[in-house]
Amino acid sequence: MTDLLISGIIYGSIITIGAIGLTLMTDILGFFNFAYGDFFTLGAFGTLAFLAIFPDLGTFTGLSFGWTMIFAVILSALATVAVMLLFDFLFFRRLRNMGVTSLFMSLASLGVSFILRAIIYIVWGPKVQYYSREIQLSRDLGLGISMKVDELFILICVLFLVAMVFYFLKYTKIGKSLRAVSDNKMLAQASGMRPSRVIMWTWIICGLLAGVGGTLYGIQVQLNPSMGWNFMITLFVAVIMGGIGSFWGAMIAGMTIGIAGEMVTGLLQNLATAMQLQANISVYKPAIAFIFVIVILLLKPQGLFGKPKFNLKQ
Amino acid sequence: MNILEVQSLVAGYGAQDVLFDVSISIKPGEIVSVIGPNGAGKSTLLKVIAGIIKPRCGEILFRGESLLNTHPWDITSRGVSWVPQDDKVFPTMTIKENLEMGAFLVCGDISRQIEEVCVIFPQLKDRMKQLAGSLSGGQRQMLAIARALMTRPDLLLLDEPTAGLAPNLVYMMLNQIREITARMNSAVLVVTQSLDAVKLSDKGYLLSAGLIKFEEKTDSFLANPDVRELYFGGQVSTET
Repeated sequence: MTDLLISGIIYGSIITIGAIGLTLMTDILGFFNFAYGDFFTLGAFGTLAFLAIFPDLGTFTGLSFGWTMIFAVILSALATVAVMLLFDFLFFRRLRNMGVTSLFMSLASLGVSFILRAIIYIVWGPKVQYYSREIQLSRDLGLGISMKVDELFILICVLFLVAMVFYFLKYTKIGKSLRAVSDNKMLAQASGMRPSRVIMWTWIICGLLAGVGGTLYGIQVQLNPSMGWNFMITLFVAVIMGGIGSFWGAMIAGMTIGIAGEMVTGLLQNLATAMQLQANISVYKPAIAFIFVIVILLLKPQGLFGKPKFNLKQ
Repeated sequence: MNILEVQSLVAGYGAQDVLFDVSISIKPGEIVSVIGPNGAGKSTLLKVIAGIIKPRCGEILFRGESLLNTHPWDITSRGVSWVPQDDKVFPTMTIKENLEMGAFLVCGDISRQIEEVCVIFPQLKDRMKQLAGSLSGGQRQMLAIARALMTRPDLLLLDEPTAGLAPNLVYMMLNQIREITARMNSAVLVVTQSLDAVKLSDKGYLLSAGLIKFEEKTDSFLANPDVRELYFGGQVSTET
């Protein structure tokens, strides 16, 4: 039971990172970006590419990676931001200037998602890849809690990132301007905020989160070109459940989906094993998330912490 | 020299024109009101001046320079602040954050500006951490004007500042608008349906169906039979 809870917390923390980025993007840019999951994949594979370039500087005690990984993650996150800004320049900015609806922006993002995935397939191939092939065993942390040191690192990393994003949005001038645009776009413009600059900062923050989040996801699971695309459904559910534009909503929904998904599927798997049924229940994790979102939307259509009148066509 | 001159302005939404050949002028430190029935184009006029809506033709000169093809943020940086009628605050941000967003274009420390607006609106001073979305209508209006004042604008555009306020708050709000011009020497263009707001002004314009029907100093403006007939139903006291 505790193992399932720990596993759920780790999975939930990675969902949280993705959901915070996606909710910011959806709220400020005004459309669902279907390519966000593939930017996660790009972040994960980018780190793999930089790992191959840099010399091996050894591993940290207990962890499956070392300084090389840290440098690789930073560069991968920056590269993800650069690719996001490039795609914005090539596609999204032009469409924005044409004044297309959020539906068309979302469809365009679907196209971007296919392009990105195809590039990843071409560059890295369809095979599953790993940052490290070492098998890491869980360690007993006391109080019946046991987890891998890599997982502890992921958790600390997510907490740090969440704190940084919170600080950025709450205390910096640019972060506050992002919140202002999310609150009232027209008034923000009349207060002196340039939409192009706000959009650029949104891509930067979301790109950094995708780069680091993708790598953390890659540490936890194996890397494959569809990892981000498959993760998107869960991210969408977390964003809708938490309420579009809500930082805390994304966090709470992400953790809830992560923990509930792991625990429910884990318990069902135990039940199936006890009944000598051969079934892989873990593939139903997204279904658990969807059950959650249906219930939440029936009770509170704007999500747990969403704005009452959210309109994608802003 | 006029601080604002709007000449032969035509503007609208989609294919529909709302303003036809509108011309108005404001001197520095002057309070000018634009009155008119619903749908006359009063709010549209302010939105065009603030750069939210692009005009089809005409000219807008602010301190002698054209504001045509200028973005809202550039217009704000030139010294024009707009307070819309609806959605006038950032609801999920605190009062202090709203004021900070009003001063977005100001570099460096803004504590003096915050103190300054708190002198005009002392009701805001003790509520700095309160969310703007939780404020009453009157408090929101005060915050909206205070936010717009953070850049110390030369021209303040107020869209129905007394709409929906209780009579005692209307009186207080109008006094505060008068104080703004006295303290900051800002000119104010106020769109209103309130007779009291008209009395506060130096000059009034009657806008009806997108056309300026009448322009005059306040006393003559209120005494004009056209204004009385068109807008106030013929019964107006010109006492202030």
